[in-house]
Amino acid sequence: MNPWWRRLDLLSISCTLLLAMLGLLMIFSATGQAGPGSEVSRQALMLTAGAGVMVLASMIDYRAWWRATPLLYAILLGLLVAVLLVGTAAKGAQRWIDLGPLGAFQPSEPAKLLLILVLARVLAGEEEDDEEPPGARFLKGMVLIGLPMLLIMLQPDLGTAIATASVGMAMMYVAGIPRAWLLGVVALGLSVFPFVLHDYQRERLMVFLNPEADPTGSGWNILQSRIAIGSGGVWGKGLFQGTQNQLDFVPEHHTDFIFTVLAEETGLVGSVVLLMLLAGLVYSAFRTAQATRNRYGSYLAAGIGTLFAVHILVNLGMTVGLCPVVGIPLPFLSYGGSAAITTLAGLGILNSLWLRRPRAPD
Amino acid sequence: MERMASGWTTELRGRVVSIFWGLVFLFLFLSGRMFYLQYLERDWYYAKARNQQQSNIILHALRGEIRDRNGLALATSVARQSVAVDPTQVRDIGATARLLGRVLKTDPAHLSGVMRRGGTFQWIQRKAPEKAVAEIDTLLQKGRLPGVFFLMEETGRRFYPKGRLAAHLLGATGIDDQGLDGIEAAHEEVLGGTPGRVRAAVDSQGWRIPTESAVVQGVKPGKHLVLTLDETIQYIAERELARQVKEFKAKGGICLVMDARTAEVLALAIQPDFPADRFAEVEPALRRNRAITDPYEPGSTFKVFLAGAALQAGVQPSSMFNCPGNLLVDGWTIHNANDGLVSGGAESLTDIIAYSFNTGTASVALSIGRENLGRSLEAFGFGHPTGIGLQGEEPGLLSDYHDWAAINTATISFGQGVAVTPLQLVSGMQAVANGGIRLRPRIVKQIMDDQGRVLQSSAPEELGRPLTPKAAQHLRDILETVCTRGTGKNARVPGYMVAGKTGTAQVVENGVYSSGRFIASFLGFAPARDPRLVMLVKIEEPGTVYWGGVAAAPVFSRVAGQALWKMGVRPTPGLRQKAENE
Repeated sequence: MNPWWRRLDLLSISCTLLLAMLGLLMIFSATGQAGPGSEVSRQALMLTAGAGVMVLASMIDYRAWWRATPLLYAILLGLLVAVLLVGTAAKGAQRWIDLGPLGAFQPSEPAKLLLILVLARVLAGEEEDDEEPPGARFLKGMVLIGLPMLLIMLQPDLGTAIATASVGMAMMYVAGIPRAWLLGVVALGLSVFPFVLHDYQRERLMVFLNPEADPTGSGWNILQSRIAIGSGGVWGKGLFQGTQNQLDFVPEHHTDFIFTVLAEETGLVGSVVLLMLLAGLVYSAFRTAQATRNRYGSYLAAGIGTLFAVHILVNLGMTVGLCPVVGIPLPFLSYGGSAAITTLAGLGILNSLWLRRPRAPD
Repeated sequence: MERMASGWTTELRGRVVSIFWGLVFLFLFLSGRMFYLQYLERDWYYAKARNQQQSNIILHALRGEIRDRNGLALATSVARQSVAVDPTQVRDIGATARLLGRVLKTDPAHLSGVMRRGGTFQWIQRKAPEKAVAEIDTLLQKGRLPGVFFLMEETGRRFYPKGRLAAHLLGATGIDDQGLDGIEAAHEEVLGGTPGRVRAAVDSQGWRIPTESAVVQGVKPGKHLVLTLDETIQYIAERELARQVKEFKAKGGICLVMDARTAEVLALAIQPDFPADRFAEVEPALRRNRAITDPYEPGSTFKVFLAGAALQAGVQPSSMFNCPGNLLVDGWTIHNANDGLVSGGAESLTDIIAYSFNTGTASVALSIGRENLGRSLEAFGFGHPTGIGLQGEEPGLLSDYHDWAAINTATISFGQGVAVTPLQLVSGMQAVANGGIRLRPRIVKQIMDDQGRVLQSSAPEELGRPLTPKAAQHLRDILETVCTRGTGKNARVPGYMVAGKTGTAQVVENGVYSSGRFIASFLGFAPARDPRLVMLVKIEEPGTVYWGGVAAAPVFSRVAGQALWKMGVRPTPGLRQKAENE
């Protein structure tokens, strides 16, 4: 019999620990303060709380979520409605709920995880052998995704909407919904996309295509983050020595643009190490998806893995100039409590799946 | 629990794997982009980052002084203190803003806005008044203004300590203390100095980061320009000219005094005048240095050079010339001035000049011929800028003598159909006074560095010899006669002998003589036998009497008397230049 800890997903846990430490280091570099009340200490607090959530989620049998699905969906909708009713507006969007001393809570983050939990059950169906026909599951899935999507677009939060949509599509694909249908949905979504965009979102897209048109205004973020990353070179300028970062050339560099700090100060070497740690997390999620050997668990793991991957790809993509700037944090690195706790909760669920996987007899 | 479907299929496994590989592909794509940015293009981005993080701060050099020949400052710059603040060190923005606002007489709301802009460096007020600087200094020493500090800025404010003195000549400087006009502009290279450069690290808002500053190139202060001007003589010339302009209700006037032996300009007075620091507000027509920029028809003062040409051509002062009341040339009638002097039909060269007979002058000119006159006038410097080294000097108008008809030769001889600047007249006269040797007029005497060492001195430069010493001697005698018994009696100075020529010219407007508008002038030198100074007095459009001998000559008398004293030329007690008929 293996010791209990050998049964844990050690790859995922070690990647998590390293990423959490790296994240704190980068936030410290970006903000330059470490005392009480500083971003670093707040983030450390959030990560500790998140670690508790993770342990709890690992211990809870994931089948409990299966049973609680309607409740989870109600919570999901409740959170998204609440943010529209009592949320505080910042930078033209209503995305946060003020929790007083606990800080601002961003319901979009747990919403993504809750939707994965709900979707997994609906797509998996009730009966073991008698999976519902794809048509029925597709329609149910679309409705379940559609409602929160609508609420998210009302905030508006383009980044979360894109992440939600991508995760939904990936889960439906894994659940065997015909590819043609999904491609149809994607095509439809892309065709109405330009009409539902706000002016500032449209402007961001135009800026993405040609940031040099307004280098000191709307193109500033894109150009400055590219300069920060590129100027880091192979070995970087040294920890806390990133001039772009330390001289505040890159805005939001402790939140969405945290990668620019790492890339500038630790260079290509640091970027690759970070990418490998993040890829390790995604890999472990898909390994879990393969290992659970049941539809619900598999969809759940694939959904969480896709969620991580989309966050990583979109966030890094926007900092290196491969996709337009949308508000999506980088898991573990970006400063922000809601995202950190949600990510750790997702990892807890993955661990719960891993711990309860069927194993070859010892 | 047992209701939960497991339903694991190989199909599902395949779909999970394909999603995974899709994501792997995207991750690789992302890695490729990072490789591109951080490896292939790293130098380009590195340079770009460094460029935007450094700003070159120009340190302006302190401008050199303009001084008179005795070292007295006519224009000077004073380095000023600027008040700046490090907002991160300010404890109470509101209180600091109120305190500074009161001292600097600035809106506190504006100041607190400035401090809230953040960064570690903000200007509060550049080149603050000295009184405010002193008050802030006191407050700083009491510790009441944390975060506020002073920076010495070398671009001072330009001061003209002598007020209106030589304002037309000095010119003006612009907002960054750069020369815009007059001496300030003409000698910008000397006065301006070399600005220094500081390369400093800046953050995204352009704040300087003082600790990382490094002076790349030091500031070199401007050099001092010592003029040939004598502040005392300048003052006398300005005062006497202003008095005369006022008394004769004239539109304006010029009084130009030059050292006869060195051609150094000792005084250049122009009326109306203005405070030198108001230069920019004065309309261009009034602030121009008209002594070099405005050629005019010199009238009878020009007969000096006709006489010079005649003597050079071998004519004797006693040679007689036809001098009728009216002279017909090429069908044009030449009159004598209606000044009450009647010619005797034939007059000597001396008397023609002394009594300023136009017909006699024309006879002399026609008798020596256009070539002798034209060449002589060119030798005296007419038709070309003197090269004194000031901006905007005009060459005047002297047509090629080959093109002259007899009537041109005749009128040019008494100063019509020719245009000259006051400086050209004085320069030509300097040759007469200096034994026939013409020197280049000078306004700059020396260039000094800020330690007072002389870097460069200007030296007399011969431009030509329009007169033989003997011709010059004869001409001086004739011009002395002008003041002894001719039209220039009012120019006499007690204790000295003076020489010169009066002139009364009509103002030319759009090519025609304007009736009732005259220019009265006197061009002369003193002492007559050993000339030390040359002077032109020009009274523009006097409202009362317009004869040069009445309106202009007295200014010569008064200025010459005081200037000679200042130059150390003592009067001979009891010497009076007596008119023969007195």
